[in-house]
Amino acid sequence: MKNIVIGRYIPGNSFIYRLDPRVKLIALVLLFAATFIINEIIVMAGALALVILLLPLGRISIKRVYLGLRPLLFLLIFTFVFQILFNTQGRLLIAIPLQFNLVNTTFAVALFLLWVFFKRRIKYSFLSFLLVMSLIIYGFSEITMFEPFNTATIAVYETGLFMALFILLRLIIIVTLSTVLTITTKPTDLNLGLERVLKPLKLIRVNTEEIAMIIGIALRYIPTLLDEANKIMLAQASRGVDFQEGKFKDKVVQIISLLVPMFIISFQRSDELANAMEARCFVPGRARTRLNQLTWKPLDSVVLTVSIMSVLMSISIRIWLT
Amino acid sequence: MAIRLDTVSHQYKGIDGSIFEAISKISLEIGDKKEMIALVGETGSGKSTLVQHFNALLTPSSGTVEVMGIKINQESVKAKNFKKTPIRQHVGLVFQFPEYQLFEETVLKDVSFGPKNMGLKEVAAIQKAKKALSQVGLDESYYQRSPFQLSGGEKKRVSIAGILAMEPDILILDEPTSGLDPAGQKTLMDLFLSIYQSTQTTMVFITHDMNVVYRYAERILVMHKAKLVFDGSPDVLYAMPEVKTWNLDLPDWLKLERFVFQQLGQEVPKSPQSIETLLEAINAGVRS
Repeated sequence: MKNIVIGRYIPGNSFIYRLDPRVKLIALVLLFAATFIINEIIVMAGALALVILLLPLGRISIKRVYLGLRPLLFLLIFTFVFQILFNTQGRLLIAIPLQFNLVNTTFAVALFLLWVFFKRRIKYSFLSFLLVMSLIIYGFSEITMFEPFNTATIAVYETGLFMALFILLRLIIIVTLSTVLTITTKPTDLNLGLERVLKPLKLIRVNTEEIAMIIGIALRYIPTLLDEANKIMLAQASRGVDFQEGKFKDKVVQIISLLVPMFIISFQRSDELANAMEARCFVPGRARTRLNQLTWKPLDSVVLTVSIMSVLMSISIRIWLT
Repeated sequence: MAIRLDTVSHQYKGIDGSIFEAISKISLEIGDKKEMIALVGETGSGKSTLVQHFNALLTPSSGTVEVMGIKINQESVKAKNFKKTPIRQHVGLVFQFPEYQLFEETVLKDVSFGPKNMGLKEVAAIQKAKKALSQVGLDESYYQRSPFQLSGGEKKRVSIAGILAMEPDILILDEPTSGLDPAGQKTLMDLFLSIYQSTQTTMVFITHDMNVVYRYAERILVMHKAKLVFDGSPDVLYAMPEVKTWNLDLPDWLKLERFVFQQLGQEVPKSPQSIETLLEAINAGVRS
């Protein structure tokens, strides 16, 4: 649980670290917009190359960003496969006829169960999953000498493949950019930046300071609550709970034994926090002064200009290509 | 040998890759014969980390912990048939805050959670729970109450009963009296003493209160800066000049005693004295 990389700040020093959080947030939104304007796969690949180039420039370790991407691997592959299978536009590239009969269905189920059973003991569980899946598909397409009870076809179309790759690239860009933001910005700075960026919303009576306060407290309490969760796990392990093993019924009780104390401690904590804030004269909605003021530096203007330029570029490329 | 630690160290890794050694090369033995052991040391000296090795909550970074003949080290925990639950049945660890473990709707259900995890059937588990609750002085009227509506001291008792119900050979209490008023502290410590006297359970308690140590402990372990610096009888410890450098206070009684003998211009005796000897010394001093 301690290895969660998404949203974690890692101390460092580079021009990205020194940027004003307001600029970072606005630039992020602008660059997101740019990736949604781009509609050509080659341009998207170019954009990804630029984003990856940004990492060594900002002295961010690529491994860190990869670790941030890893939890989303499932989502990425799911969207990829979904696009390939269900997009039926363009030229037909491959068609694999499948037959479902008693023998290969049993084979597929057995193979899958074997994988489920052994996945904890083998190192490359993800690679082995891909292997098992391709073996299952192979079974459905090649073991055809028995009486089938159903048939289907896996068909891959040109547009489907391109769209799948395109969306994959776009998702990678978005996740990488957000990881760069969270790695290089302290949660407190990010929050302050957010508060300032949202300030115009005050005109329509949105209490931006309170929103920022809520986000700030939530971020602040993630490590604290993780710590508490760890302590609860230790306390329940002392009472013989084995979190690694147990049947489904036991698992439910195990999770309840974790969640109930977690809830109670969270409520206690928030009560204490509210008292501590009040003791220091916090009044909701009242104007507050800041210890750290944000300062706009020339570098910030440069980065903002570059971000606006990239949006304009992507618009003009789109118009020019059509 | 109930518990044996052989040059046990435990290291935590920081975010920036720096290594923090919580306990360093600790060797100690806790025998089969029951003992009342106090574990003292300043905050951050590694007391909690040490006791979490006793019931395999933590695996030593180097060295070996042996609990009831089961070896726990980096290699042994990787074995497929290695089970930690039996170790936790032998060595029960009660944490400082009961809030971390209470979760059931009723006190009785909560206390029977441990025995059930040991593989006992409902009826047997409830029986053990009832026995444990009577051991901590909670009667039948508590059985159906919600553990969250109890007072601080009562919650603490329920959490202790939750561990006692598993009938451990060694009971470890992490700061059992913290957060209680003086009267509550005394009742709880006396309760431990009565449990200790009526069972064959070895007790290890972590505390900062040297008066509690003075009154109850038969053996003291002192932790200082991740190292075990003292392991022995209380009387030996009190006579040692290092007590100050380990940031330990002397029990009030000993302070009084030393003060009296110093005022009388007499030599301070090596071992603690009874109140009668002290009064005699004062009388003799006043007469002369």
